[in-house]
Amino acid sequence: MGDLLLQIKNLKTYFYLDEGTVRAVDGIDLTVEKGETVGIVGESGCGKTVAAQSILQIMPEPGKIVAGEINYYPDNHKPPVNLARLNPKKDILRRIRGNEISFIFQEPMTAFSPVHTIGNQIMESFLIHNKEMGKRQARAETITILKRVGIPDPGQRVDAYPFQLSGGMRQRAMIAMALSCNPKLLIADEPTTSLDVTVQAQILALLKALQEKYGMSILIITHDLAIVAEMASKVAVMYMGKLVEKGNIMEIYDNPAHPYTKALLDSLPAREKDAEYLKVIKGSVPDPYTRLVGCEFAPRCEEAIEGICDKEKPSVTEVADGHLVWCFLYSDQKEGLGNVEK
Amino acid sequence: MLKNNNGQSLLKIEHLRTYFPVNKGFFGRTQKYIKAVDDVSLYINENETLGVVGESGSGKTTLAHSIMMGIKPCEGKILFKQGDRVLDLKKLSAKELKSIRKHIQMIFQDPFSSLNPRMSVRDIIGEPLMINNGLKRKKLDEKVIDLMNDVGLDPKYLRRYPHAFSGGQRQRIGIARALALNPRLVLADEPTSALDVSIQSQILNLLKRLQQKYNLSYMFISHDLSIVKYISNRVAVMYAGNLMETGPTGAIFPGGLHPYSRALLSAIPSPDPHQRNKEVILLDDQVVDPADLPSGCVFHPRCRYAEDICRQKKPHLEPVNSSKGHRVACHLKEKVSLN
Repeated sequence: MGDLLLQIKNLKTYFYLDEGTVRAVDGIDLTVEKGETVGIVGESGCGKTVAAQSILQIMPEPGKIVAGEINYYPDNHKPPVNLARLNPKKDILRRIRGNEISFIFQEPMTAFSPVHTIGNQIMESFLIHNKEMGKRQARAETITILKRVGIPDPGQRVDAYPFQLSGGMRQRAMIAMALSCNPKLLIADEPTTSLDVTVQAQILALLKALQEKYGMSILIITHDLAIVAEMASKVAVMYMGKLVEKGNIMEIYDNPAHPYTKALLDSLPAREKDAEYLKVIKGSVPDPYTRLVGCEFAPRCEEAIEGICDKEKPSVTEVADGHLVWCFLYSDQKEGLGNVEK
Repeated sequence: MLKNNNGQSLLKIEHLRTYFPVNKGFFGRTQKYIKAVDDVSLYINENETLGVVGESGSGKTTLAHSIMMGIKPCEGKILFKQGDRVLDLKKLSAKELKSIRKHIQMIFQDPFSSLNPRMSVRDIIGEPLMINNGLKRKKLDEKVIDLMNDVGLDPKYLRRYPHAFSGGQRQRIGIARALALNPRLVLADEPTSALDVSIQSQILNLLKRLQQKYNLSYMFISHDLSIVKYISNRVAVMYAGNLMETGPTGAIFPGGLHPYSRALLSAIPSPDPHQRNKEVILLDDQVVDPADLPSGCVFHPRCRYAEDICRQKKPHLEPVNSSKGHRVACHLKEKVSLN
């Protein structure tokens, strides 16, 4: 086992709205070790993006971390910093953001400012996080890093505006910005969703190569099970703000335990072997204000046990080494509950 | 529904070109053309699904719109079989075209912007029936309810408006609208790319089921190659407005012959972690400028096999001897196939 870099414990991020409370992230546990890639997968609205944003407290208003810890271990000799407790507007967190932990956003067109050159935007992070660096040196560093992420002709592109670059180039510039301060953790939120497959393959290869070279950890957030299969060593599956299953990538894809994970994998055309019809998950994700007494997935679950799954929250069971699942099918809990029902 | 098995294709496109003029200069003179669809020939048989794949900007959507004559192609033929006759859509008058268009329908990518928010489900699905068949009130309601049942929507939502539906349900409304006039050919332009994984399979199954029930032909445009592989009988690969390769799904997947198809297909990540580190053919990031296409083969600047002939002469689609119905536009296909 490697050294711990980030440990999320029982994180809850809620949005208190007039219409009700959205429990976007509702008690998740996750660890990221140094140098590894962890994937969070789930459908839209499952809370995966808010979970990632909570780490740096950059979730949109009025999102608030209401409970839990996000322990960040900058190095082995120092005590961890609990990022969840830091004031999002104060210096300590600002020094970490973009410097030690950086973020790649989904849409590089909207993440960049359209009225500044990409060079100026990347330089900014050098100038903010490294007080000794002058403008000239920052520009030189920017050109070096643009070159490193595979942008041809970086000496000229440094003065380009975002609209002058193609989608793939913009995403490379985004990665360059994220890497400018040699982060220990790179959070990539759907980094290739708006790109073509051929460009996606380039970006994924680039991320892998950069990780090998600089040894940073990557937390990759995606709805695409194939990208996680390609990149991650551990995966966590989220549904309605909660984890339903997590573990080693090979274990989860070979022996998925939770009915939701199984159904997601089975619904992929690429995994279906010449079947006439694809397997489907009935219904759709309920609206975010919904609160269920029982398991969040029970209404859509083919294997739901009546009187148990709709009455209680499942607790966690370890079905194999490091393979955790939140489901009554694997839990001893259900016997006790079943008796009560009778 | 009529079924005519004289071996002729339902739709046959010959040398279709759709160019958009680029106005430049003080007087706005046309100096250049964006060749969105450049000399594309293909066919779709009855009850068959043709998958069209390619990167964004390769002309897939323009091709679909050209078939509908929504965008007027500048050259070529669009031959559509209507009973015993074969009509060239390009030569029809506006009135004739309107009557033919009933048989060709589209399903759009974004179920949020393709439905009018001010119209109820009944009005959206019923509008084509009202205009073309003159159905009214009760008869219209009945037909709309039939269609809703067909696509798996609860008829009790008849009077609801699109905002009350989820993405998957909206796409079902779009499909019902497309089916309202009993079309023969449905052009589905990225019908699942705005949907979640768990909803995507529901819609794909629905499209398959409807195809069997109504003998539909599909042209299925998608950038998601695993979906195209699943749903298509034949596949056409487009690049910069040109058709690079076409053939039965089994011949194109898993590799194809054209160097572009190979690169494209190798780039699909597999949802099986045991297959990671399989060889990916990485293309460099050069984006083709559609107003200034490279000479010869449009793919040659990114092709790893390119030779002099590729820079000088444009390759035409030619049959591959070894497999039936498989055609490739590549000068070096014999050489590439050995690799």
